[in-house]
Amino acid sequence: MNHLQFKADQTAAVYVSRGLDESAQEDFELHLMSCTECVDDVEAWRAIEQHMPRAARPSVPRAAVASGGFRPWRLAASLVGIGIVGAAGGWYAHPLVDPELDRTAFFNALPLSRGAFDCMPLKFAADTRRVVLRIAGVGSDRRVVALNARGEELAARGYSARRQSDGSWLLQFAADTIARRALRLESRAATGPAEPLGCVSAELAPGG
Amino acid sequence: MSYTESTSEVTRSREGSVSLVTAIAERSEMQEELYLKFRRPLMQVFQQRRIDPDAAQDLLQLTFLQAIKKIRANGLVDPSNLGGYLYRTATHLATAYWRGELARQHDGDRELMTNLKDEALSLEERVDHDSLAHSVRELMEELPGHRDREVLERFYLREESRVSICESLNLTSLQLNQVLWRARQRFGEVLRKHGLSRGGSLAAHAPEG
Repeated sequence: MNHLQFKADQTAAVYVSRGLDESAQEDFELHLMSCTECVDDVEAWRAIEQHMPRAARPSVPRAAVASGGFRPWRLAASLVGIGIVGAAGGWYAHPLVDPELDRTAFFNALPLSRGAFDCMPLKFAADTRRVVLRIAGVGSDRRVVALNARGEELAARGYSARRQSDGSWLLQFAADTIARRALRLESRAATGPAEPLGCVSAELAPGG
Repeated sequence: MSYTESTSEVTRSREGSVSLVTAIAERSEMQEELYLKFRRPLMQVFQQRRIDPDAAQDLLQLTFLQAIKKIRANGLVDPSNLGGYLYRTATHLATAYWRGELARQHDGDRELMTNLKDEALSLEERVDHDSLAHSVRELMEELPGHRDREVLERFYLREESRVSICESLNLTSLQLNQVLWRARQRFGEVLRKHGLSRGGSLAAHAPEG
């Protein structure tokens, strides 16, 4: 794709929102290496993304982002409450309805809260049975996997991952799976290298 | 910048890369020029992979170091594609970083960083946090119509895809591009008004149609 097409498609804006697939991202990044105008555009969009007024942010306050934390929702029992959370975060609640909902901890991993070098602690009560993690901003041609410390994908009995209709991914873990060890998350495509998404670990609080 | 001018820039860039590779191979002092040319795009590559600025500085140093060693030891198969080589090196280092295969150093060349020319610094590095935040607030307030603001918020805050935004707001892809183009233009004007732009390089092209 040439420079004119990148400009006409507003590729810099889409790139910063992580809306390009792997191949398009590679094409554009290679173009950036020789195009200062497109680098200017990317920097401008990055500034807009990072400094957009926080009042408009749907869930995570700046302080939580700066400390690198995931934002947990300890849901009591109200499906209405879940619907509100789902609407705010683009999270579709209906697949999550089950009798153990009050022992499930939910976390939303926004792009700004991912990416720190150290593992992000997910804080949940000791009586939690299941941990659900939503990950947005993953390319449409990629799938998300959870890995152990040796870089091996977790066994299917330990977790599940699936894409939602809004493009985000929901990862569900048995609480003891994540309580025992830190887990690394990666997105993988049919071809090309895996893209690391970060690392999560558990921080247990007394049950209640 | 027109398409022709940009194409010429790409051609000049490739010719410049050949000269740069030759100079590095001959052990000329070209480190600053290498930085000027490639530091900003490489920083975006690391930022896109959610690597924090301190770590990105380290990876940037490693990228340049590996490139210089490679050029001096074996040369490059295609010296005009120095940018491509640096890009591949940077993406491999980013992956290695996330896999924990690189030691955490944060010992980037601070003196070099301090002495870097303005052209080598990104917008975030040149302009202080408060000024940028103020400019973005101003942009959001000045955008024409609620729909333009909503597009940006859904794009960057809710991480919605283009398709989803177009469907729910009943926009064509072209109309969405026009909204983004207007916002980009307006942001350039805001930066210029506050003396924060890099000169004339912030002009944007209107989407086709």
